[in-house]
Amino acid sequence: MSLTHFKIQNKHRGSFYKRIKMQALLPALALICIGLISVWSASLSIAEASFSKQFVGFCIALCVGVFLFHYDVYKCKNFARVLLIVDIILLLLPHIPGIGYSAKGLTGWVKLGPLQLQPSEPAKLVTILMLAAYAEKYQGNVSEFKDYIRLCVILIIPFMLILLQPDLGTGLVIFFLGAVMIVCSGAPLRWIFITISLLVLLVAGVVFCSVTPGLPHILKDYQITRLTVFMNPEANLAEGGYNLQQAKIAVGSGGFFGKGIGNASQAAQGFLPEAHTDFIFALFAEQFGFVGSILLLSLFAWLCIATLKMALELSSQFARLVLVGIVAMWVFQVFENIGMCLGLMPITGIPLPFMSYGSSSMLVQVSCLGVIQSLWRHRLQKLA
Amino acid sequence: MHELLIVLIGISFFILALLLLAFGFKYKSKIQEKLSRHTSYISNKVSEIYDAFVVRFLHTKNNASETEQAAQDHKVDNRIVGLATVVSAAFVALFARLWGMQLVSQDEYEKQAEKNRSRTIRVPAPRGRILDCNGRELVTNKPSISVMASNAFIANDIESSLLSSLLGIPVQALVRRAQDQTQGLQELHAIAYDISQEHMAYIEAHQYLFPDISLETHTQRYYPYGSLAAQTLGYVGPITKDQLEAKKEDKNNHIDYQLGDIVGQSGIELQYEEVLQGVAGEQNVHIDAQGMITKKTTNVEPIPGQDIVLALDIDVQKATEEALYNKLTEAQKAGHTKTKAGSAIVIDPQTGAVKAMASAPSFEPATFTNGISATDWDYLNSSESAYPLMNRAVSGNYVPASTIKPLSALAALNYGIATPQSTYNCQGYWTGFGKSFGMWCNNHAGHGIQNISQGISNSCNIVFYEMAKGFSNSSHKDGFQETYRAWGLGQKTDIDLPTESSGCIPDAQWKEKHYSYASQEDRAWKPGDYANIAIGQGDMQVTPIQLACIYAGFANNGSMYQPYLVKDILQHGTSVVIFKHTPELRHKIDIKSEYLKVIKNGLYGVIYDNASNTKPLASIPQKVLGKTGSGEHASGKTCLFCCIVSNDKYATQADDHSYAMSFIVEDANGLYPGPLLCPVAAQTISALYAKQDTNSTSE
Repeated sequence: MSLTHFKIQNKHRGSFYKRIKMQALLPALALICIGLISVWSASLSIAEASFSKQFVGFCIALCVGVFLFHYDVYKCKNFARVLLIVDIILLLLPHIPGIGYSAKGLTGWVKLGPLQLQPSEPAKLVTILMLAAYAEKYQGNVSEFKDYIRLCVILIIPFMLILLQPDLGTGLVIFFLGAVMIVCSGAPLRWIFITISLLVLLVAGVVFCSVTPGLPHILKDYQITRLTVFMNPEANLAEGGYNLQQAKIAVGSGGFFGKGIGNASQAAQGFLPEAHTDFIFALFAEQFGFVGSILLLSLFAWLCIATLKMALELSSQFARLVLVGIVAMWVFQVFENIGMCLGLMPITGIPLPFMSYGSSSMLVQVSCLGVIQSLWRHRLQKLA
Repeated sequence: MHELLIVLIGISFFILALLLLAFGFKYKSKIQEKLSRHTSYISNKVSEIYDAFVVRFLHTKNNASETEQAAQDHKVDNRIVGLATVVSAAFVALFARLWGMQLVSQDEYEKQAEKNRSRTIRVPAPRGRILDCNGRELVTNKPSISVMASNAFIANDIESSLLSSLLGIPVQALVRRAQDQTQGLQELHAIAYDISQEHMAYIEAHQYLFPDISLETHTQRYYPYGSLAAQTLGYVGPITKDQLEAKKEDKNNHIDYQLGDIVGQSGIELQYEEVLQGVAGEQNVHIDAQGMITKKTTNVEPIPGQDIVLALDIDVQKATEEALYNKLTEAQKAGHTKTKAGSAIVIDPQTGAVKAMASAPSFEPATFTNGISATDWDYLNSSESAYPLMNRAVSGNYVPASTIKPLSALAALNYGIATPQSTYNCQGYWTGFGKSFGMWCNNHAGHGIQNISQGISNSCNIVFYEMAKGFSNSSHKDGFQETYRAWGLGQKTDIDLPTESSGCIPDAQWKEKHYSYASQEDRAWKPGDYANIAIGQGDMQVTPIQLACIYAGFANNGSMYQPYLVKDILQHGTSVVIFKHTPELRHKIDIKSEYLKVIKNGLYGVIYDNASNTKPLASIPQKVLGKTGSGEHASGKTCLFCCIVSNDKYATQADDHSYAMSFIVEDANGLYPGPLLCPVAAQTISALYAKQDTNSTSE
């Protein structure tokens, strides 16, 4: 009785609750809170981790998110080409002398006054919207091979531009979410399987070339080591193996309940490098243990599944593709980032959504939430 | 301030977001209208330009029927559900891995985390003290402040030049020490030792000037008497790699040594290393990734080393050393520039206790406490400095010369070669072994008729050549050597000091072996060799401690006690005795008292019949029986003097007031043992008896 009563109450609560899909928002807000707490705890011992900066980043992101919530994202499907051009411009910005600058071997940042942005982060969202805008026209059925190839080419453009930086991690995120979106746009499975087989052959060929003496080494030895170091971190302490080992120790020593907030000996004493950015999950898991980690994973899972459920509820192919793309991005980033901390995945510099220190990532993730809610809010207008 | 500004900006953005959320609904339609007008305008423009330049490669397809549309929707639904399955699988994989790491292997990772941040720091145990027989500290510990530098110091030019001008140490020296890897791979390197309180206060007050420097207090060896008895006490230094390996292999060693430990390197410090060392403690600490200590946890207190009480009397030692050094300086001033080295030993004949042991030249053991510089080390091991590290009292080999004559006489008496009534006629030149082997007495004019006592008193060589002839003609051809060996020559006295020499008693076998490069004829044992060893010349070699022991044996009627330095071992800082030395009889020689009387008569005559030679001794209240000697070397002359001192003329039985001593000076060309060494003996004796007088009056 009480449940139905609650539902009725809820429905009569007013327009605000009707316009917002709470299931896809609550876990994200919880994750943002956890992320801010984690950054705060990291700021206790890591000088570069500034809680106030992260907080400002979140507030700015919130503004952008709210703006997108009010904006009718469905309109995007009408200017696919604009999105493509924006995407290309964003990814070329870091290469422009004067505003672009390099750090850690990546030409991936743009400096505008005091602000530092990583354009490849917003480029993810732009790519999602762009691909959805292009693929929406097929209404879930890509029957001509020509069309399929076109979608692939559109995906390859931002992917190649990111590889120019060169940021393999973000490139793979875009590649993965694009591939998922193409699959969900209704391309025949046999084409997809052929494409995947060709890709596997290509990668295998590149790797084979690189490890066989005499053939041109497309990938340098250190790059291959960096990709395979997660399988045997002790043997390659120099190539990131140390970081990985320390991350695993941090996660493992957290135990069931964790060491408590501020007691992360691995991160606080500096054993765990990049504890506030790439390895923030290790910091979190050390402080909050298995219980906290499971809570975190559950929130991510809830967010993804709720968003996918929403995709099933919406009838617009554009909205479905955008939602699928966002979920694909989250899943890839979460699995790669946490998997890296657990020694399941190679070491790459992909941030953990909502958690990692960095305003660009926060901006994009909150914007995604805005886009999702906007798609939900404006669904009825589309039907009408 | 900066932080505050950032927070303010953040809050204003937050409020802006809330305002947007609230008023967005109200003004939404207006804003949206404007926005969509602008965006569609831009979109249309872009499309036009795009169409003009780029081939159209997308056309819309809107020819699907209603049923087909439904089928397509179903297909997409399936794929979204498939994606959801993949998502779930990914999370399940992460969950499983987390389960394994945080629940199953938690202990292992915890151990690794603990290993990461925990370190054990060795806390060296305070080394045991070394005391003299009256409990005065000869070697002890004192706190010392070291300046420790981290690696950043090497690159910080300003800091190093500041410190250099403060401490007066060259910048290069500081930087070199900071880079020194022999101190082990610790994060901090000691770059200056034992700095003054003022410097410490300055550094502590100006820490911002010295960001890469810390001060560390520890104990180091301190020598209140400076160089006094330096060779006997020995010096300490960091254990070397070879020593460490030797200690690790030594099954009797129970101390866990580690690189950087301070160990005894010579003298008592080395001999009693295991007693003095103690057991190092442990301090467990937590460190950060830079190796800096963040927290101290548990610790094990070090157990200090035990204290050692020596038989040495520091007053006597001081008097002896001063007298010896003064005489050497005097000789150098008189033009005997090579006369730099010598030694002196005083032994209590009743117990074997060494009351004083001096070796000249000496050195400052304090130069070793903080690591000796290469220049200093090279100097100490050069002929220029006359090797001050060598303890000549136990390691020096010398020809005994005439000081052996009493023992030669005793041999002749014992083996029946001579009797107490025997007399010899000294003409100054002796041809007992044939005209071609003629030998001079030290008095070329001849001593005339001499009995054995007179032979000793006048140091008449002819008397002893006759005895040598007697042995060479008798059935006891090795009578001299047997007697010498019975009195402990040719073997170590086993005094508790390292690097003792055993000396050398030549015989036919030894000569054969030693001169293996020479012709058969040259290395054969000849009558002349008997003559040589009878007067203590040639290849015969003894150490000063052996000589002192022999004279102690004369004083004690043939009972020779094992000489020793360490009397007691005490618990650190207390008077609780852990070990007490008991005098040990080493050689018990049966001598007829009439023979001994002949010898002692001779020794008495040395001092009192030729009083001009032994001036300061003849006039003191105590009775002195002694013998001088002049060793002849190709390289130079050695002056020797051995004596027994007691309150009784014949010293028939040693009592609490008797002492045996030996004095030696090397390279004393142009000097005579009597005038050189008797004043040293006199000052030593006066110190010994002044001591006893005060003792008896105080008791």
